[in-house]
Amino acid sequence: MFQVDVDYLKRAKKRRDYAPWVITFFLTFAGIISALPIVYLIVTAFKPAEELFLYPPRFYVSNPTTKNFADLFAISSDSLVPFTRYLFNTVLVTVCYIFLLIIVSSLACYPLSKHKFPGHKGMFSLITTALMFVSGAAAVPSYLIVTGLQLDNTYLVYIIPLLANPTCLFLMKQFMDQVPDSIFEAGRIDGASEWQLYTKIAVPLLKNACATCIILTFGSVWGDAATATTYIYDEQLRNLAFYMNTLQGGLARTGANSAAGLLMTIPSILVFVLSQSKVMDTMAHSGIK
Amino acid sequence: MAKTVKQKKKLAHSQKIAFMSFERRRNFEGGLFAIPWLFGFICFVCIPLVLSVSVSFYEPVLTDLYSFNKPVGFDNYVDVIQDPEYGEVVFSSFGTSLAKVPIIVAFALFVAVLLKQEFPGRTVFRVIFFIPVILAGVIMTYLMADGVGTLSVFSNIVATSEYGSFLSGSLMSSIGTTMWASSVEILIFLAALQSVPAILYEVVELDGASAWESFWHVTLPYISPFVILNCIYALVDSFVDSQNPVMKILNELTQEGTKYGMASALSWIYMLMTLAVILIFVLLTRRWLR
Repeated sequence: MFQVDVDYLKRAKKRRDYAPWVITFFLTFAGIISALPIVYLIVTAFKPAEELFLYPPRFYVSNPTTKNFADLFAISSDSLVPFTRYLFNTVLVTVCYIFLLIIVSSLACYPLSKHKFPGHKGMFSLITTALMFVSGAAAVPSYLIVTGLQLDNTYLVYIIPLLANPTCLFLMKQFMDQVPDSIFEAGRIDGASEWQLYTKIAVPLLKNACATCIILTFGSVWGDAATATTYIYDEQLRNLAFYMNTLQGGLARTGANSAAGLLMTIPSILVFVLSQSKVMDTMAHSGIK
Repeated sequence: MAKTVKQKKKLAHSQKIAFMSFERRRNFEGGLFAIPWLFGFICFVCIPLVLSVSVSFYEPVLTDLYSFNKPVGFDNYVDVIQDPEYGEVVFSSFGTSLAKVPIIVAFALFVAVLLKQEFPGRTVFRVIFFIPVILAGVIMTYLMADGVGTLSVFSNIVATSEYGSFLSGSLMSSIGTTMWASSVEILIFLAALQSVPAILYEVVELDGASAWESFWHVTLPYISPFVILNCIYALVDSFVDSQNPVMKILNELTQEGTKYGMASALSWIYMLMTLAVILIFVLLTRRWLR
């Protein structure tokens, strides 16, 4: 009897062995297609001028060159405002924005999911509506409001108008819904205040959702050229994405532009690689049963 | 003696009230946490939205946008509806978006389930599938403008390969763009899959379920809210994508400068249609949404 069981287990183990290979094969195929944009980005950055203008564009480079990067540094060294200033602005704004976004979204998702405060249903449908908010037509009213609040031409304009991010709140609420109410009830019985419930229970449980939000929003803030174009008049306060955009236009700068595009992408990839393990960490470890 | 009883009763009563108000106070306190978000939401989303409704009933001029001097009633809406080009574009983009969603979500779920397995090089694959989101915004538009993701590039690849004859260029190009559109969904599914308690899998494994059965009876029911979330996300994402023809029309209208009224009218019609689609979807899938 026991012998049979062992045999069965052995066979089961053998049968499972080829599964990783099938997975790897499929993912490699799909991965190649998914990787095409980045491949194109990298390849373009090393293309010499005569290959840049080939049509249709190619996914390989015949004579790779680093001239594009040299051009980029040459252009940025004689720009009006030092390159490092743009970089500093972007880093400052991105860090502040993501920090505040996480706080604001997690603060809002906790009561939305765990308290039936008056109007919570209305608020949730507001979020779902906002998710499909067509921004094109409301661009002008938003401009008037931002200038009316005198946020224009300050660092705040990069941060405050974008803080109420419906996608992040929606995502966090979905994660919060998975957390059983009994954890919070237990905390309440032990005499924790609402603030303690939030900081001691909700925030640790939301770590994965936070990491997901960071990954989702980092790229959009880091590469946000529109805000600087619309609201910032002072060159000192403009960000890197804006500067990279000014490089566009002018055939002579196409090479430098493609090099800039590659350099702009590296931080986003780093952020993803660094925080992805958090997203993938099992929530089972966090005490949810 | 009688007094003390009365006092006791009063005390009990006030305690009861205190308890009620405790619950309420808790809810109120919790509600306070949502204020920062609500403030930003009202200022920067709601008010512009409401203003854009009123703009759609006027003929605003660029120099004086909110004078509201020239009320035109429903003229803007009539103009939009009567324009044959707009109607066609709106309906065709609706069709494409609706057709895309199930493919994107199914593909994302499939890839997420695979990426959850332990196998060598998992991190590399996760990064690769997420690249399109990292490239979002400026760079992706720049790439799109260059012709990546359009027919020309893919048909170029296909034409130079030996198997060009049986893989048509347009098929390749739609596979490519669908895959690039599903990165966020893959990420959400991956995170959702982590929230399925491992103990459930242990239980069904002891009961003799195969991996296939445990997917249909444990994984899928557990992550069903996320499937719906992803469907909505994919729908909205393709509706408001800057590559969407309706979005292009809207941009043209606002950039020409004089047609804010029409742009508002068109975007409201579009938004209400989107809303209707999502409402129908939510009503249909209600029982899976816990």
